[in-house]
Amino acid sequence: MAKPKAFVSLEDVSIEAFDRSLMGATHGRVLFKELSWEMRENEQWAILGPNGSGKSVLAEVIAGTHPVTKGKIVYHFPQDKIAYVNFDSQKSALGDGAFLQDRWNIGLREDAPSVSDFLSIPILRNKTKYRDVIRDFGLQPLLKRKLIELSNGERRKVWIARALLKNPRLLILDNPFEGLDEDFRKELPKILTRLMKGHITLAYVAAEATMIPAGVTHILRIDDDGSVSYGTRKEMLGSGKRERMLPKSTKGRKSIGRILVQMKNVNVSYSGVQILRDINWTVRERERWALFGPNGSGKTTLLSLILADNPQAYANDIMLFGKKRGTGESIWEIKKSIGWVSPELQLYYPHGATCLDIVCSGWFDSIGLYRNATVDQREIALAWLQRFGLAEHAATPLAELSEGEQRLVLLARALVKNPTLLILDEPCQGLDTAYRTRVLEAIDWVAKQHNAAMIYVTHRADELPKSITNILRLDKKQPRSSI
Amino acid sequence: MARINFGGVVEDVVTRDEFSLEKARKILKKEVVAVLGYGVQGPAQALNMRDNGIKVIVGQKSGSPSYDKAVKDGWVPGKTLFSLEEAAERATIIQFLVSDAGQMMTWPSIRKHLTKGKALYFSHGFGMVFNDQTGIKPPKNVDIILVAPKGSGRSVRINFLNGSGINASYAVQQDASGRAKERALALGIALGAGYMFPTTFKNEVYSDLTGERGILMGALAGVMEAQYNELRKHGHSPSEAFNETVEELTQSLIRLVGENGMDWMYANCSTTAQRGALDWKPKFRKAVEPVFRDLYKSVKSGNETRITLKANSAKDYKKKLNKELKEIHESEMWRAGAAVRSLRPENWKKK
Repeated sequence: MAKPKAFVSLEDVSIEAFDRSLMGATHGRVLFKELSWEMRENEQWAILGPNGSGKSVLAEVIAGTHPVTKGKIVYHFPQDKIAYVNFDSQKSALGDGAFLQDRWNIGLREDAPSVSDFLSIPILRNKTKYRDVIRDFGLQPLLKRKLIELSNGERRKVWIARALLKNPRLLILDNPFEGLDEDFRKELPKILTRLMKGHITLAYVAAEATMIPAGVTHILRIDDDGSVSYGTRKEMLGSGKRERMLPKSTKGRKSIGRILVQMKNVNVSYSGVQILRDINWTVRERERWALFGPNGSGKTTLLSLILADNPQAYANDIMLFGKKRGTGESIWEIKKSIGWVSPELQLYYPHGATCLDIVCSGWFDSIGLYRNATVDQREIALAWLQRFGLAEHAATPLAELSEGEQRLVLLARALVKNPTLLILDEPCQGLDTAYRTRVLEAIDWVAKQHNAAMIYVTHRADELPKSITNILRLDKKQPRSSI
Repeated sequence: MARINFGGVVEDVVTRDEFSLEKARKILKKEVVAVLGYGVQGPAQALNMRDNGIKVIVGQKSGSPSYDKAVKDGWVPGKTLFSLEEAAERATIIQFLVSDAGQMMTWPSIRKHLTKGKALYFSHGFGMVFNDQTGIKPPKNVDIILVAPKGSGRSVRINFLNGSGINASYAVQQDASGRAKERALALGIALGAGYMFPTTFKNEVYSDLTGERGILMGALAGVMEAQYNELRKHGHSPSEAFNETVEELTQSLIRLVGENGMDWMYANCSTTAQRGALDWKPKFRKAVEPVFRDLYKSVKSGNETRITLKANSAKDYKKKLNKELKEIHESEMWRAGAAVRSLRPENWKKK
């Protein structure tokens, strides 16, 4: 039997991580040494590895956007037929000047590209394909929106759709299911399976085996010690685990704690699009809320009202920590009581900052460190890094850490001041089991130890901390709350 | 007040550490600040002051795109969003942030609401300094103050939200209440200034107009063109002429100068570049000194203002202007520039 033809070949390749925020490549830690591996035609691959194992860098190497320090990589097809989607690549398309609260600051908006601008790729001539992709991904309602206005989950959908529109031979998806809501998480594997039956070769990159799409035939696994093994799916895996469903409601409990957040008939809309409709919601001391809702249902916008990041808070009836918005409070007084982490924070935080400085910026609620932290503050910050096993990276720029490690640094930033209210917007997105367990344990510990109230956003049941007491579910059409 | 030594000259600089937000809020406690004009500086200053707990209202003509933007930014018609005139009436501090030309037009309707004890605030001294031309002549019983942030509206907002702050200059033209200076400083802190440098209305305008006509745009574009044309005359290709004139400057050199200064640049370039650049610097300086002398004179005499106001009021100005801009846009040099930019590594990766 003739062996299938080679598709991508890595020949004795050595790879180092480097800091992308600096001009030119500086040498970083060695991730792979003399790795030889081949993807053949008609094979579909999953690349698995825990956070920080270098799986994303390996994906970049295959995509041709990260140099190898030794050996070579050979493509047996035109190299411009590679489409690569990862979390990092999203920022560049948003423009150099984009900032965290851009979504909600309309008066200062500069001309920004819309979703349909972004999806209009010159090399794309196939109108049927465009229509199919827009339909499969449910993007019709988003086409006129600005990229900057999309939610984390919507943005991820648009990025994957764009990659498909390029008509790639090789499609590399780094953690594509992260940030997607339950419905689309079921839909995407079907789309991918269809594509694999067509002419696309998939390289699916993830921390864990749970979500590997059905059509994947081969697996490359990077272990904790950095060793690489690969083989057929059957050789590499036993039977997969099934995903749990999100709970519909919790037992709930009568709470009599002080009111921290109170919203009355809150409405937010932009250019005729109603993002939030008549929200009534009260969060009290010691309550731990799970916030659910499909992509684009307004979860992050709702949180931005509490975080004092959204100017429309002034046009609504919102009480925060005993004071009505717009009665002489400053946003810094509000932020002082809140510890917060979100995919957007990770996207926009300057990646050249060192880990210790980032954790210290939690004391000042600043994005970047612009004031001198005291010795005590630095010590506490370092203790949090230690708790997450990142003390050795105190002086390392964020850019040199993996996505999962970056999350832990930002989580430490949120926890460092023992906040009254913790707002955790998909804190486990992109984390492997080991990291997820550490994060959830830390969250439960803080909630218990300091009686912090919590609002926790996730699309996944296995990412829910034990301490959840209440649930708010946002609907795309008619938000309603249940207790 | 921090006394900071700028190359041997000591200047008094106000920092947010000594002049805290708390102090600013106390000073502004009884004030209603009206930001007139929701254009470029207006939104940034209004949003930042509101986010710092200051009582702010916005004045903007309804039905305009800027009015819609203000609504989307959480300003509520009839509560915190009014017409220019009504906002001026309700305010104790009037921030006059409409465009230079717009100031002239709207001044009469603002003037009548400038009653005793109010403050008139500018972020640019233009309207006041040249008031023989603009007609902006406030009464004697109001404060006239200025805070000019050193950045676009967008960067004023971004630097506020990320917690870093922005530098600004401040000035007092007329102190009727005895509180003019503290009002100016408090407003500066409230809009997010980290450091504030003292200036006067005149100095702010003269340096601003000289800078933009000089090295920031006029002189820069002029010397770039001169060098590009000379290279082209001797047979260099457009890409080469552009690369050696603009691309190297904007993509590497000017960033290094920003970080380390021109002195460092001189000390850290190749010996060939170093010798030549040292020898040619005085020649260029000598060549342009008379031009700068004329420029400053023209600014100070009000001639530049006359030209600007006259041009802006001409009916066919927009048409003439577009023709001038089109000429630059379609020149070989800047078309070559567009092509060179599209070939930058970060741009071809995106394709």
